Amino acid sequence: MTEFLVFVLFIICAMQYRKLRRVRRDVDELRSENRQIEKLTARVYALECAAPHVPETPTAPLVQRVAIAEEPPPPIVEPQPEPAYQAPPVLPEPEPKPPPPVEPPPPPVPAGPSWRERIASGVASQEWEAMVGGNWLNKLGVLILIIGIALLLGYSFTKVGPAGRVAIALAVSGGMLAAGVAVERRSVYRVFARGLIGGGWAGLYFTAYAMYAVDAARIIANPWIASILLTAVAAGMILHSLKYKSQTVTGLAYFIAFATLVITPVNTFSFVALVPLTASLLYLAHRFEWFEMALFGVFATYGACIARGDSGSPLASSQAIIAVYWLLFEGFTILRASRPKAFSLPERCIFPLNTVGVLALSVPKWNHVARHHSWAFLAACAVVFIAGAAARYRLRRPDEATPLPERMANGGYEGPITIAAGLATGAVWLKATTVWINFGWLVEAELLFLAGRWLGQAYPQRLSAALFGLATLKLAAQDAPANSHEWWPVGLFSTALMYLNRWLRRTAKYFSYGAAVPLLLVAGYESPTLWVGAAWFLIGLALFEFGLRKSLVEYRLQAYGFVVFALCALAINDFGAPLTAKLRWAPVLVAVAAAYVMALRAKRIPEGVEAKYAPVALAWAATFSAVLFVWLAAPTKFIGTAWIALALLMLELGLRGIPNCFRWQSYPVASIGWAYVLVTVVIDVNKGMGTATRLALGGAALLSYALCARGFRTEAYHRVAASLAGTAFAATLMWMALPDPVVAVGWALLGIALMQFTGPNTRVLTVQADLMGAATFGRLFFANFVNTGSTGGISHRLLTVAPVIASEYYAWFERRQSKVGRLYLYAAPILAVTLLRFELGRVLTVVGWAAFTLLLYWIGRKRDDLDFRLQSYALALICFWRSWTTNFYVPESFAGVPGRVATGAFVVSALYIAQALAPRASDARLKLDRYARQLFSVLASALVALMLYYEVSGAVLTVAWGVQAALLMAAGFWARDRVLRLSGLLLFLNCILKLFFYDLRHLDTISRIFSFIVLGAVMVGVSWVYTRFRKQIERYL
Amino acid sequence: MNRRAAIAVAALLIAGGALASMGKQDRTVDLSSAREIWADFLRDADQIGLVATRMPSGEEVRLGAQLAAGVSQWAAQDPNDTSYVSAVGQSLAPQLRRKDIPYEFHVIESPSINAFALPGGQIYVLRGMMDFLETEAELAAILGHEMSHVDLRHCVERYQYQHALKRAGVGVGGAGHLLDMARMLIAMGYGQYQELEADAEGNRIAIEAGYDPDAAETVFNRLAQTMGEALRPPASTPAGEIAGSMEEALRDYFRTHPRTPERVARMHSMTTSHQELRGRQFFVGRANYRNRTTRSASAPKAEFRTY
Repeated sequence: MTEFLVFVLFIICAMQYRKLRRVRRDVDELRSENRQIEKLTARVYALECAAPHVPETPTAPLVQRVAIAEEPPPPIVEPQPEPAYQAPPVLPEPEPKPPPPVEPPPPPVPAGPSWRERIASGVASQEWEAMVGGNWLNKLGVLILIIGIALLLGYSFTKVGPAGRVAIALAVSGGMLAAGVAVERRSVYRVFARGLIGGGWAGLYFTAYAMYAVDAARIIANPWIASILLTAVAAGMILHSLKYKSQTVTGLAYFIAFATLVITPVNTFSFVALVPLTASLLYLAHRFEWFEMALFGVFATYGACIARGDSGSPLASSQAIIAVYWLLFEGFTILRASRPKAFSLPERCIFPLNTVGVLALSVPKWNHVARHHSWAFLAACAVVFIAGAAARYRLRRPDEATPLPERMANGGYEGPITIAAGLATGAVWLKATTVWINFGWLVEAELLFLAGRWLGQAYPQRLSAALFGLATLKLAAQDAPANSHEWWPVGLFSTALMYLNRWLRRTAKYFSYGAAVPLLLVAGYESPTLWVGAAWFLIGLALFEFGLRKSLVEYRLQAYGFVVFALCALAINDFGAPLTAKLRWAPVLVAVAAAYVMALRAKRIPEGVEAKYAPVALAWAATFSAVLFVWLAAPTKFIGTAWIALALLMLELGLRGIPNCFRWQSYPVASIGWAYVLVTVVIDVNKGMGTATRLALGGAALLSYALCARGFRTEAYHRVAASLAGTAFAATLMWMALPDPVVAVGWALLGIALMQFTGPNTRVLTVQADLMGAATFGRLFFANFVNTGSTGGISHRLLTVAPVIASEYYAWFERRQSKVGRLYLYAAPILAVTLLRFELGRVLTVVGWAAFTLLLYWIGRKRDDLDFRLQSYALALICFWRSWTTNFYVPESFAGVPGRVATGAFVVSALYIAQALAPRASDARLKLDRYARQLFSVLASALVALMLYYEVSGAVLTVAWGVQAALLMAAGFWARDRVLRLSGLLLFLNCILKLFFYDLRHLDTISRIFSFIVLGAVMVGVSWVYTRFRKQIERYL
Repeated sequence: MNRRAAIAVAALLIAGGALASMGKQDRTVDLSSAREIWADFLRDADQIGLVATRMPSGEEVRLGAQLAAGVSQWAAQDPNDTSYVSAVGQSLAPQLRRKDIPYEFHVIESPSINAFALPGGQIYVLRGMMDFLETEAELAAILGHEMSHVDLRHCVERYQYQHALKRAGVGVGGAGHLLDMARMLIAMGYGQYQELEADAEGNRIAIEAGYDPDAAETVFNRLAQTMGEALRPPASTPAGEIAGSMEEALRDYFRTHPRTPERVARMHSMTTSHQELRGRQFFVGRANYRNRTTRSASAPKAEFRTY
């Protein structure tokens, strides 16, 4: 009882709320209009103030303005520069500025009263009173009356019996109803009458309810009779309401009727009674186009069922009833769909709500009663929905120009077919297992596609695509990872279907993309781990070729996707393939071949972005695969060499244009090869490394040089890098492989070879040759000069250093035009001098040096080369010094001749011969070169004097020096050599000094006398010669 | 022309390298050649001063006697071994060049395996060395080495500057001390090569006196094993070669004697290069040495060997 009263109050409040909203909307509109009016007033005022006197023209009435505001704005027919108001052309443009300060402008007066004033005036007017008195008061009065009747019934609990109470209620209710019907005919009392009528029916309804449900008024014991009675009252209400042709009134009546069925005690009756109730509601809704009521009917019907809950009735009967409900609303919407008019919002909601309602009622029941057969229910629903879709298709032909949501909302077939597809999908899911689910979905999807194709409709095909996608997703997420090897036929089947669909419908490119996914999965999961990448590459190749031949970009794009996946697979699976795996490189080789073919074929791609990037990307794929192939196939020690070989091969192919980009892609490949060799061999190089390592290093060197050679037509830095690598590897190999003394020989040979290949484009080889020359020079001091090895009596020192000296001279000859060439020219004699030192021993070194001095000077004279002569001068000085400081103190003797004399004599002879070779007069720029003859002569003469000093002593020394002086002078005359003569004279002077400063003090008498006499005689003799041959001498002097 | 020259040079290099790859190999990689050249230079530079301050033989003998008197104060002599050693030493003296030096031999009681020479012919052999040697030929090699130091003026040259400064009236301290230190530093650069010269000269003297040519090599080999000296093993990497060579050169600069294995190698090279020694009989003197009996007193055939 209380709930009922609350419910009634709720309804009344809802109605009042609706009225209030309407009033608020009116108020907002009034406000907006007032603002417009204010603006217009201000503008008019401004115009009036600024313009000359213009007779006022009547403005448009507000009523008309309001009417304009209500109607939609008319389209602009002709453009007008000014707004719509009729302003004369002489009037200036309106300005927002205030009027001239001469007269203070009055504030603008609004054209009409504000909304407050209107309400206030309304309050003061008759309208408000009439509304409250005639309308609100009526309804409140009815409500209060009903409450009073209810209270009366309750009050009369102890006064009258149930029948009495019912009789009273019936009488009051009937009286109200009759009174209302009676006074309704007069228009003045129409509102009052309707209140009475509504109250009367409400009272009758409540009374009929109370006759069974309320103990105080129970006079009916049979629930069926009670239900029928209640329904009859409801039916009466409905029929009466039809008289007013008001959706609200009739809707209210139906509401009460539905409420009746909710509260009725008999479930079966309630469910069954809903059928005619719903049917009648829908009939009226269809008849009078009361679609809001139809929507209400959906809520009410299913809501009533849900409110009553599951009473435990058999599934068949429950499902049948629910099916009837659904059929009623479905029929309504189908009939509605037959009309061309667009669906209103309530209509659009009926179908989805109907669907939700039937499923919400049925599914729990099936799950509760017959879970294992739920699939049958879903399947049946799907069939039914398909029928509905077919009916809709027939009645309302889809217009492809209309957007899909619009079509679905307006009762198109798209909604039902979608539901049907979903239900069928669910049915398959529930019935089938494992891959059979996929199979079922694929069949369903294909049927959808074919249906769409047959009907010429795109939507079913798209639905089909979504279903294909779902099947593929399941394949990818569930079946394939399960690793059962049973799913791949379905996968291939899926692919085949999608490709077929793609072929059937040229614009459905997404099918081909979708087809690639199962293909990817099948190949990925079913191929042996190491072959996954190769398999994907092959598929990619096939797709690419197909796409190329058929000029279908989508297939080529799929191919690129396969290539990406394949590369990832190669990197993950094959890169770390166990060493024990047989032919672990074979799949990578296949991948290389496939990628290479694609890279070549990519040249045929039509012009565009793809043609610009695809060949390069595919070539990179081939390169990566090739690098990986080498990693797997080559023995560990040869990997670096093999990469360099690969780079060379790529360079060759690139130079031939198969493809072009291999040319510069070979650089990074070569770089990693060089890096590998550097890290694994060169940095940790040691002489214990085996033959394999040496072969690898040698191969790397040769290949690097080959890269440099072929790089003539490529970038300079590539040539530089390749040649540097080759030289480094070759030098390292020589260090590793050759005996220690022979390493320098090998490096010298390498330097010679590098010089041979020097050209205008290969200056870097020249630099490397110089570096090898420097390394060779240094190496000799480490391993060759003190080497004690020998072969056949010939020291290894001689066997190795002599050829290196020859190579240094050759290098000078080759580079004589450059500054570096002079370095070679000076390095060679340094090595030669050092070789002689160690080869001849400490004592005989000076003999060798003297001979070398002579040779250098002779060559210098022959070639007119100042460097050779300078070297000879330096060596001559060194020989003099060496003889004096070393040889004159050696204890050795040669064939009985003291070492000092034997070696000294040789040096002296060499110096005199050099003197003879030197020109008497020279115009050389360098002073030392100009006086070479004098230098040699003085050195030789001084050496002889020193030798005599060490050999003899005392008076004999003085005599010996005197004799030497005389001989020098004689030789000077004979050879016409002034320096000899001057040397002799100088020696004579020395003798004289010795005589007087030493001999007189330190020698004994006899020796003193001897030295004086002999020296004196010699000097006299010399003086006689000068006198006797004065004239001849003067010619010489 | 250039190409032909290149081919010729390349052929020369290949031939030289091929021949050098055969025969007896020497795997030594070090900076001894640079050290030796530097030693040459230092020695030649030092010659000027040494010649200028050359001490006459008489003065050298007097100096040696003074120094020997000092030595005799800190170590006792063994008269028996001294006479034996003296006999052996005197048999070597005719092979020397400086005839005006009278050689005196001493065996002093010291456990160290060593022998040394003082200017003026004072030769000392320590007890440790006497016990270390096994044959008379080995003793002759050692004596020959020390006597060569005197004969080649190595010993006296160490005192020449001091002596000259003293004669010039310059005190030993101050500038004289500085000069002496400078001279020592210079001598350090070539002192090892004087040892090698003494090895060669001493071996020559002993061989020419009829002693076994291999005796010197044998005793130095045994000495190397006893002292635990060994040649630096060959480096296995290029960086190791350079680093090892430089480290060894720096360390060896301050050594007074060359490494024993190097001395052995040089002596071996010297003796094997003299083909005229082959087939000749040389005295070993194992029993003689044990009994301290000189060759002149007893020279059984068993003590000789054919080289």
